[in-house]
Amino acid sequence: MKNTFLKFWKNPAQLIYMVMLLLVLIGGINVLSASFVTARDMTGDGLSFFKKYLFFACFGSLVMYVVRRLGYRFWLHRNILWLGFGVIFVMLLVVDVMGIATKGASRWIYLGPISIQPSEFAKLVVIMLAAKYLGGMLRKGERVSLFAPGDHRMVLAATLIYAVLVYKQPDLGTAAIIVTLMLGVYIIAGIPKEQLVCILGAGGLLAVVATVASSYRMERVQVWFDPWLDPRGKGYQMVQSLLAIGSGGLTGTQWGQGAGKFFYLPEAHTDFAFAIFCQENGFIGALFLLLLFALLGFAFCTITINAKDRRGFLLAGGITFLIIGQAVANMAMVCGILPVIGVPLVFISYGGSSMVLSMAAIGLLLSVYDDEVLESEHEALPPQERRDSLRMVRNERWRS
Amino acid sequence: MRKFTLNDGRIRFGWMCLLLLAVFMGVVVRLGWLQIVRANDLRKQSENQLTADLTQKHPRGRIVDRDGEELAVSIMTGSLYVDPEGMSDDSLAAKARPQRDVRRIAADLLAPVLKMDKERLYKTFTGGGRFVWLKRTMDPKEEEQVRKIIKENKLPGLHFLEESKRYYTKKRTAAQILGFIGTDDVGLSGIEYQLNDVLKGKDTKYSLMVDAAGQQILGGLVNDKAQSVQKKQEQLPTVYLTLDSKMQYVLEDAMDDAIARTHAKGAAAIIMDPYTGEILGMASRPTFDPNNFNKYSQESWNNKAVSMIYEPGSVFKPIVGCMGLTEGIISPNTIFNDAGSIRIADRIIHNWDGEGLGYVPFSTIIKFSINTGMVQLGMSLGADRLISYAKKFGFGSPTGIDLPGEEHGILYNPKMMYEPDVATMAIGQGIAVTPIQVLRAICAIANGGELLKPYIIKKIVAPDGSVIQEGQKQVVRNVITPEVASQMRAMMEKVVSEGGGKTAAIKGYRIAGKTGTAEKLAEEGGYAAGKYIASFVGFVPADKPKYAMLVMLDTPQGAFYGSQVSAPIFRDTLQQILVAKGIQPTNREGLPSFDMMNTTDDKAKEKPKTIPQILLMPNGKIKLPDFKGIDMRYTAELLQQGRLRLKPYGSGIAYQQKPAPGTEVVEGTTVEVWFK
Repeated sequence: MKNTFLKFWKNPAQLIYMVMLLLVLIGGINVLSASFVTARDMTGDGLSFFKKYLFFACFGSLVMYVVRRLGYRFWLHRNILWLGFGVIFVMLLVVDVMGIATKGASRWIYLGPISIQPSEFAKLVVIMLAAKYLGGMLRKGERVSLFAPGDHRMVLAATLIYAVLVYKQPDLGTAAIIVTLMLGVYIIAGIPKEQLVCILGAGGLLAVVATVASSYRMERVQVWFDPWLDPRGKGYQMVQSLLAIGSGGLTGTQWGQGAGKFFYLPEAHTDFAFAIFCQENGFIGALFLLLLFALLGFAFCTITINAKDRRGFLLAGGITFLIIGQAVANMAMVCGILPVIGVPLVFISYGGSSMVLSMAAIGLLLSVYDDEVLESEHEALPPQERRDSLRMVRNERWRS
Repeated sequence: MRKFTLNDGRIRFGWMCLLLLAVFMGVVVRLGWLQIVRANDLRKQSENQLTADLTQKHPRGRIVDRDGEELAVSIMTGSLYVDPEGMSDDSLAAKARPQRDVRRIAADLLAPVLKMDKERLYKTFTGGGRFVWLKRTMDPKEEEQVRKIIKENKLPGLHFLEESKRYYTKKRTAAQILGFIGTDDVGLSGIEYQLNDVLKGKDTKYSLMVDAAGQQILGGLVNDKAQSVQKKQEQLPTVYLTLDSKMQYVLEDAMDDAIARTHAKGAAAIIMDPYTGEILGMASRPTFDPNNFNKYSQESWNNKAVSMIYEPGSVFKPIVGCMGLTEGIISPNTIFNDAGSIRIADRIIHNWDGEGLGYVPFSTIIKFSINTGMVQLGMSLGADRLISYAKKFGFGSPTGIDLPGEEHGILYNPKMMYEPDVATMAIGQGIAVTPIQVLRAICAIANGGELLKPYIIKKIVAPDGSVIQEGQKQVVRNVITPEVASQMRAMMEKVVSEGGGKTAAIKGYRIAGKTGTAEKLAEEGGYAAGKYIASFVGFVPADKPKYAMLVMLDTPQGAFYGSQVSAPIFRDTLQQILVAKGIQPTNREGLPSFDMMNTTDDKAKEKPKTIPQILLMPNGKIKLPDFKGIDMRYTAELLQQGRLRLKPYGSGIAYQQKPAPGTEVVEGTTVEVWFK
């Protein structure tokens, strides 16, 4: 396995670290450029978003280290998991109640200078729940089905509760992502093909119904097809995004000169930071960024495919969907392939909660990898030592 | 149901990853499409919305007098307007800011500065529409405050337009020369019209990089490119006139005084430098205030000094005299027989008093303005020579002065002239002239024979100090020899010192001049009965003239002879100017001494207890009152009641007089009064 990765990295973990380091560097520089004007306008300090970005990058690294060190088996323990579920549940509830009190849409809990977006963490909790209980079913050799009895119903229930709370914020996009991520884990856990078809059919139908039912979503879809229908109104954000990307050309404007951030492109430093990146770095820069994400995805997939523990496999798969899926969705949205849904681009968009969550998720994924390494080393041992080491592993089994 | 193995799961995961890869490839293709194929188009659109084309307006150029004293200036002042529909944050500007009621905030902040009612402002802001004036031509301090408020609070929808406002700092002074401007900064008359292309503020167009809120992109993380399109500050040229505003002021004052005294329908006066052709002062009546020109009659806008045509009368006689001298027909000593009247064909021409002086030399003909003598000279010159000389002296065509609305005047076609026409032309009738034509012809006599092109634009100076255009002495032609000019100057000096123009005399100075009184041309043809043009033209000092001046009164009421009404204006005006300019009298004899002034000075401080009255004594003499403390006009009125003559010195309030108060004098006595 070591021979697969030749020159630049020895193993997927190293690859992930390298790519992450590059992404944080690029993302930090891009956030500085994209947020400078808005930051100066809002807080008087043009560097305020950049500083927070650096803080969250450091804090996220720490979280990632701790998460990996403790290992995914620890985090998938029933008590820990349900405690996490409870904390996020309360936070989502607080957001909803505050939203009702202030009669405005809000996604954040404010704790002093830091604002937390609990719906981001809900995504990971759902994946972990699904991994734990569906993995448990797979271990016992049970066939996973949406309608079968069993522990997995707790996953459905938890996901539904989260989805409803997030939907009430209101944030349909994130609610849909939570459900989709859960379904993603179900699919790789082996739900029957008929259910797969049903899910796709129902999802499509639901999307159509939801769109037709709400004029707001209808407009979003309309301007997705042709943003120039209403370039100064509903299509404004999309048109500005396309103008920013297009005006970058092959090589981009010089760094800091992208005009989109001067209040032209809404969310220039958050959801649409990729557009500013494309404007300032051009097609060549964008391709480099895409390459980095491709490498990241490759490393994720490698870890997932090689997982032998079923829970580890499901967890790694879910996290791949979470990080790579969202990244692809964001880029597709920014360049107009998908309608505008509020998904950040990890490391490139400014967003503390998203960054900390992503790094925590990567920590989990890396611990899945650690488990794989342990297992393969164990298999390589002579039988006597193998038995001793198995005993050690057995001794640790209490954890999961 | 088949058991679902880990490998089955891996295959499903593989399929899902392929799905993601498909979208991923879609992104790559899409980016290529946007950033390579459509790049130029999108970049152009992006630059379009990024660049704001703005117009910088410049204030109209200044008009100043020869010493740089301001006569007309413009300043740019901001006019505040609101775009009520654009007054919300959610239109285009950043949505990142928390929601707020912009209109309420703007109304509360602006009300105290604009001194307007909060609620009324709020109503304007909420009333819809895209353009409502809030306050026009604000004063600069106020404007600065408002700009600060808008900037600090990032208030959308409030904008300024720069508007130019013209101020004529000296109000009615030189009104017809300066002219005025209409809307859109367009000069409609006078210099404003003549030099509109020079003075009018040309708008500078420039481009700025702006953010979505319309604010200029400055500093921070942007490069210099954003700032490279700097707005060009540009000033406009300044026009220097040849006018001397001090002289102009004296002239305007004298004209006001003359109109008040004579109730003339109109008037014109010009002071010119006889050696260069520079116009030092020029006034016309009726007049107006160019700051509010539309409140005055259109007639008052006309500059009569260049646009009124009239028959000059006797002031034309020196010019005819020069013709005779040049042609060698006469010399100053040629004897004429003045019989009091002369018959030419079917017409009899009288002297003004009908009296004849018998055999007199030509110098006397001029001195007493004797018609019979002039007619004899005219008849010997003949129509052709009269008209050709008149043309040579510049009559019948505009002088070319740089003012709009100049008239040509009218000359006979010599072939159509009957004998009586020739005769009357010799005494200044049957020819129509403008005041400026007469003055410049007289200047030719004053300066030794050069007919000049008069000019009023001294120079046009660009903002960087370079001179764009400069007015220069321009000799049109030499019309007479210096000898002839000198002979005529001597004769004209006698007019003032001994002859019909004594009322123009200023003690101590040598003055040459000529009076003229002509019947006015009626609009329907022929002459208007009882309506006269009284004029006086002259220069000082007679031997080496500094100033030449013409005074013309149109239809004065009461006294109408040029010597009675126009010559005193000439005298009073030039007297003040000569003193002010420090031109020393050639002869101190007869001037009031300083001792005299000092002895009576103490009395000057006492105010008259009663309003002075003219007392007619039983012996037919008039007892002079004390004029101390009353103004020139009233003094003149009082003296007129007693048929006494006023010889004023200075202007303002009387403080000294001669003879002293209480003296009994006879009718016609000249009373000297000093004013200050």
